[in-house]
Amino acid sequence: MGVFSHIKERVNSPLWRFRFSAFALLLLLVLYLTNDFALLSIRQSALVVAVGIDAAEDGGVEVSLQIAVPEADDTAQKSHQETVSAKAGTVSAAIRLCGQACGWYPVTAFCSLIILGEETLQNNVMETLDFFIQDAKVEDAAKVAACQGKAKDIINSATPLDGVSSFAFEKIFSVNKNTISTVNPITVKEFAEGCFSQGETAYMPYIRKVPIEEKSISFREQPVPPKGVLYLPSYGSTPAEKPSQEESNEEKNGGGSSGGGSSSSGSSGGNASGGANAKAGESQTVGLYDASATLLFHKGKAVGLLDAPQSLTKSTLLLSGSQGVLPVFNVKEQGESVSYLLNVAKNQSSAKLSLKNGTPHLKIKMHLSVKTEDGGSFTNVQNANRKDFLSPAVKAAAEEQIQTYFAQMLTLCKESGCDAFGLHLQLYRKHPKHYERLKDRLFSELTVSYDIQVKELK
Amino acid sequence: MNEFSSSQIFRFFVAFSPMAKLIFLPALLAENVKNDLWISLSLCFLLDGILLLFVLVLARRGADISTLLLGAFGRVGSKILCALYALFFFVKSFLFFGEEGRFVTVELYETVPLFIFLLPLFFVGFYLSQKRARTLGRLADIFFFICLFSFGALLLFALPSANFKALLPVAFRNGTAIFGGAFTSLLYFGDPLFLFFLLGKFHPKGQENTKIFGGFLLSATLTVGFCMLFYSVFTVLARFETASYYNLGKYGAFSTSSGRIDLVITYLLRSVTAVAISLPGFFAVRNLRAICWEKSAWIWGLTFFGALAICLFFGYPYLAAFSEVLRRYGGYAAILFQYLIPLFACAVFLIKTHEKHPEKRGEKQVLGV
Repeated sequence: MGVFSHIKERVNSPLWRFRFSAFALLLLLVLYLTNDFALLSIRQSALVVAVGIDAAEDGGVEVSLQIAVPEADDTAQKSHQETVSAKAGTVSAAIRLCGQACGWYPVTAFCSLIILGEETLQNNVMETLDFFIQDAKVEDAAKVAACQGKAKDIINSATPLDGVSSFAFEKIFSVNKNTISTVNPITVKEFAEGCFSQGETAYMPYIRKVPIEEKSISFREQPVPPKGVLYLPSYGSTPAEKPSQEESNEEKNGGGSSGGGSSSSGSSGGNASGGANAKAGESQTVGLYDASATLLFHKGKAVGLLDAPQSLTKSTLLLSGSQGVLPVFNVKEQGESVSYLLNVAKNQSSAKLSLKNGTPHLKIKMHLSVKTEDGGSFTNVQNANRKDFLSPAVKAAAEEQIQTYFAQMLTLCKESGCDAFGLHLQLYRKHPKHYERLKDRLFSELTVSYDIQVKELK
Repeated sequence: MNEFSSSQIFRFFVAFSPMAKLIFLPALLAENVKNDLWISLSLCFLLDGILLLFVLVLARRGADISTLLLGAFGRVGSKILCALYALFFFVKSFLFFGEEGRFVTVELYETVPLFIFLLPLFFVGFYLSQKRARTLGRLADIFFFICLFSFGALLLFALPSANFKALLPVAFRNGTAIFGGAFTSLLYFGDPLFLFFLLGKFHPKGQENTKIFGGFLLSATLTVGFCMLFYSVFTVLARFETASYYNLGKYGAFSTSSGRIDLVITYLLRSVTAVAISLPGFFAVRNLRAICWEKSAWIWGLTFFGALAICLFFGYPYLAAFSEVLRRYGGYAAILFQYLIPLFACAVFLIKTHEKHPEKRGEKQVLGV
């Protein structure tokens, strides 16, 4: 007892209190200052800026990591890319394998793009993308897109202006993020939300690589849909011609996805035994990218494809309140068919579901205030239209065109089972009591009315 | 002596009450209750509000915690109760410190050994446990503004990416889940219990009770509003976002253009959380001191936080299982310790004072005090 009270007395003295505090502070400082805070040395870290995922022959995945390598020369600092790829049973294992093969720790926190190869679209893509959703170390704000052919080819390519393909895509997607355009960018998170929502539908841009020799992209060019994906073209053929269209597409695609489409040249080398290969002597191809087609997914599987005009219509509907441009074709002027480009200054669009006597009704509203950007005949100064004047012919053609695209999208939804308008979600949120009754026959019982107005900007 | 002013209690609620609830709880609720998580939270706050009302009534009548417990449970009973409360606070501390550790190892510093990270937090907890109640008030004064700034900034970051339609339909087919969610969340609540143990240290007068209750309501609004925002941003994926506010602001245009500037908020809120999760330890040490060795706070502080460190060090691999068990059955303990016992003690005190001084009560009513 005496010893205890002696210790207690000493410990309670100001000097000992000070000593104890100083010791604790010192211990804390030692602990903190000798810690590296888990920050990996930048010299050991490979900053992954894009991930390409392809289906491997053995049922696993082939992951290609695009690693940005900054380099400084005498004049300026620039970047070039290195691609490391590996095959494994899962995406996570393949990424680790890439790290082991090159000795660099793959840091995926800066990954801004995930590209899915054409063959991965045959399966439920959420089985591939779930890693990016569930793993906290991976950036789920990265954009996701599918591509024609192999993702590895896209990852390993460049544009004439950008040495790193993901930087080019970043520009393509960021420019089109908040403006009405043919490109419908989406993040992994948004895609997964769509897949797990009541409609189980999501979308992503479908990238086509345009070889450098072509150097031109046409708005009206028909995309080549992946195998088993429904496509109702805006122009030329009609929905009835679909099967033959698909067949011809497959022919065009060089025997399907194994050939990797037109962009696979020079990229097939060297991945022999399921391990990782660093670069493997592949040469970087140069080309342009066309991301104007939009792929629709239902229950994680690609089921439908929207071409550029349909994608534009979807974008206009999604981005109500945003601005952009709207091409109008087949306007009859003085006996000729001419094209216009309208500048959409005001966009009020919605697709609202309501129940009329227990029957689902979709009202598509699109009120566009536009001015003429370009188009029409300019043969005579007196007859030429002013830009703030919208001729009735252009107005009628634009309205008819938009309605046709919507009708095509609805047909595609009915035939493929996807819900491009988010109607299931609306039904669940607004009329939850009717959801169970109607969820399986929503599109078969759906009636549609259109309120489409294109008017000149006052 | 008034150690804790009403303004400090107001700030105490706003600064510390939401913190421990916003580590893993939103994701947990999103998994079980989905879009109705805010209703579960509101139910828990309702229980807390009832307890707070009683505590404030007692504080108004000059109740003191020691006389209150002695009156209701006797000398031995109150000592046993203090020990049980210390154990209850230990369980809460284990849950909070464990979650904080998981947050850090999962989201911030993946390769740091947990113990290295938690050790400074134990020091904070130990240091706080050696201090008097007025220290809490001073800390609340400092962290109140940090907390308000952080929540405000987080709101600005997250609001553009929020879709509040995700909260629809309200309370549809989720009745059992809502109550179940509230039950599993109860262990994270019970902040008025801290005030219950501080009875006698604060003496609200005039409109000060309204101010204190206003602080509680503001903290409830912040917590519930934050969880609504959380679900609106992550919708069906909210259950995967185990570190609620770490990723909340990253989808905003500001973060995408300037990098993860929103992480500043995360670190600010972590500093507030360091104190908030130490509060059960603070009150556990007070309770232990009430049993014996009242002047040797450092012994009890070392015992409490040492035991906590040992349990977390050896139990961390099983933390997920422990947390699951605590959430599943901890609700019973929470109901008993956070609500039933304090309310019983309050009721006994009120009845006894009513019996002893009926004339005083009438006098007070006449005077309108």
